[in-house]
Amino acid sequence: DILQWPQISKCRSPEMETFSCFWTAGNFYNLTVPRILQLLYKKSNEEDWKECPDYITSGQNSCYFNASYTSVWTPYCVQLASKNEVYDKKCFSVDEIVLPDPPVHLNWTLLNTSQTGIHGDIQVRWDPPPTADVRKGWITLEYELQYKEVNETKWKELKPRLSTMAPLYSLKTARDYEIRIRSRQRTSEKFGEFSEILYVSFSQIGIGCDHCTEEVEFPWFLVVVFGVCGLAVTVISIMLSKQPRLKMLIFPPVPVPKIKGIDPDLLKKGKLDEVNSILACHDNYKTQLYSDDLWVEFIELDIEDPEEKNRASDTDRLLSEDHLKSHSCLGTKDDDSGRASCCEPDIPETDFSASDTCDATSDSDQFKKATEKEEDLLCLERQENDESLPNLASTDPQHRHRNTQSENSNVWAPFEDSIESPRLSVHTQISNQNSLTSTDFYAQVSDITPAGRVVLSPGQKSKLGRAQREGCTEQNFTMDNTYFCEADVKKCIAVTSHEENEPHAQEQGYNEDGYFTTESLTTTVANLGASTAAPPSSEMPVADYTSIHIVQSPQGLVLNATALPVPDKEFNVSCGYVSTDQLNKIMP
Amino acid sequence: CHTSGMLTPNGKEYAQKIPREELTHLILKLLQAWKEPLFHFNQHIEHHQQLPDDSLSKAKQISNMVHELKTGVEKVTEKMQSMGIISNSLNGMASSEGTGLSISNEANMMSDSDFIHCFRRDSNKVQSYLKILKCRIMPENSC
Repeated sequence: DILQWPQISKCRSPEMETFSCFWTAGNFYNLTVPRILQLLYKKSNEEDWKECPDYITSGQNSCYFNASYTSVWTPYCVQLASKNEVYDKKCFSVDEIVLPDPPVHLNWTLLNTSQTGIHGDIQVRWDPPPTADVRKGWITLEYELQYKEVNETKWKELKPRLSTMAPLYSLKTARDYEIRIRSRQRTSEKFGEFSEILYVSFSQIGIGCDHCTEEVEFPWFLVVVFGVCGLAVTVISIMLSKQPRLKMLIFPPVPVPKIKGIDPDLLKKGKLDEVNSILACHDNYKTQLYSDDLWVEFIELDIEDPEEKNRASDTDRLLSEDHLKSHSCLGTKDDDSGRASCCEPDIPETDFSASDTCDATSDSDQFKKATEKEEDLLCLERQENDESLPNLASTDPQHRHRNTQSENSNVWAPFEDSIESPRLSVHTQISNQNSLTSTDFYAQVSDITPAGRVVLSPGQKSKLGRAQREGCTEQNFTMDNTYFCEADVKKCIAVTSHEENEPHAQEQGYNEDGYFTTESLTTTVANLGASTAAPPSSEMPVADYTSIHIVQSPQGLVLNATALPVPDKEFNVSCGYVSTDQLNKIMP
Repeated sequence: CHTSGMLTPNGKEYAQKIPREELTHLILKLLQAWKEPLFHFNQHIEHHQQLPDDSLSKAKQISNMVHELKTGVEKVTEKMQSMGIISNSLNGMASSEGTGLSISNEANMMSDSDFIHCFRRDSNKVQSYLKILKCRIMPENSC
């Protein structure tokens, strides 16, 4: 055996008010006379060693220093000695050796159990050690709880806490648990002794589940949920990624109004040149959409372009070609040239002449004929061209059978109206104007069928032309937006035009969006009678014409029998037409 | 420790017996005594390259906490004096100022470990005194 000296094992203070020191005696007893060990102590500011005041209270081999001997923050030194020998010595201060007693009065209460009854939550409560004066705050304690199942070996720990209660979650009700708690001073690192073990048994309060199965069940619910989610994700990814057919099968595309090959933005921007060129490439759409655009084209081009010769040649060419084609098929022109120019934003009128086919019944062909006639209508001629007139007149019967689709009679309708009769006269007048150009011949649109076909009336021009030649030279036309006032023109019109332009009993024309077709105009004129037909300030009553009362929309016109309410004097009152800008000024 | 010369109650009974004004005064005195030494100590250890940054930041944090604690105790003292809980007899801190100067001189001569040891002890004192003072201010607790 190893000889062991007596030594001081530890000194501790449970509450920072008293402290005790403990030692071991060693194995000297057998050898010599039993020694008497003494514990001497000394405060740092003292000289003499004093003997332990109490050897009994703390048990054997201990020395107990009560409150009167304890100075907390004072350094002490103790030594274990017999009469002559000093076996051990220790120096400390009381606040460093604080090791609290274990908590007392442990108990637990049930918080709740799971639905299946397999697990339960409990709340463990305890009291601080009675020796520690926690109430006055002389010492602040921390507690650490440990628990385990009864047949386990390793304790589970909770984090140290200041409160004297702690919850334990998800304990198995089928098992029993053991709980123990220990405390330490908050500013220290060492824990005191453990408390007594608290036994937790759910069966005692009748909750225990004896026949509960083990929890290692297959989580069907989770499997189902995740499976559905994964399936949905997979389906969505498949649909969105690669299979257009599948996608169309499940998500059929909603048809949007769209014209193949046409960018909707072009239409929005109003770039008619490009639209026309694109449309010219598509034969199907020519007839539908070209009517108005071509009118625009024709109107603008003819008026803006002061070249006479081209027009004359164009119109001649048109007429001659048309005349020729109607009787003998000249065969198709060079389609390539036509096609080539087709897709350029060029003047489409040339295209039409170039790409004319022999198929007189085709829509495009008819359309072209009609558009040519429209061009004839709208074109204003500087020079008279009587030769073209009979040509046109001869072709008029043919045109009468020609059909075109002009579904939209827009703002140009009245223009057409105005141009019907006075074109021949106008061209003499217009020749004085700069902005107007002229074409060689005109055709009067006498009728627009409900289908939107323009029916041309023949032979009008000659009369009109002759009638107008005299007195219209000095007329002053108001030129607004390439319109010219029909009233002014009408003054030059011979009255004889009245019979020619008899209003036909028509069905109601289209009334789309405030538009009025020519036939509705004529109908209105017919209904209103000759008196109202004439514009208020005009001496020449013309049955087919009436003044515009109102422009409902930028494209709409309402014809009125009454006088045009023109508060603004700067308007040429005789002018039956006002531009949109003027109307905007009038209208509120 | 440089604050060893201060007479402070070393037991719970003494802390309960001395007047509250004196206890308050002692607390403030202790906190004041550590203001300068902490400042010097922080400056001193900043040049220590062996110390990790955590220690340096912790030291600064402790200095700030001591300063804030002192400010808080002063405010509480004023409140107590205005409410008549304690008297105004010991308002003058001039004596502590003087001792503070000499104390700081002693503190500069301590080693770092002694410095930390002393600081730990005094902070424990301050905590206990404050707890007792809190208990004594509220009469419902049987302090």
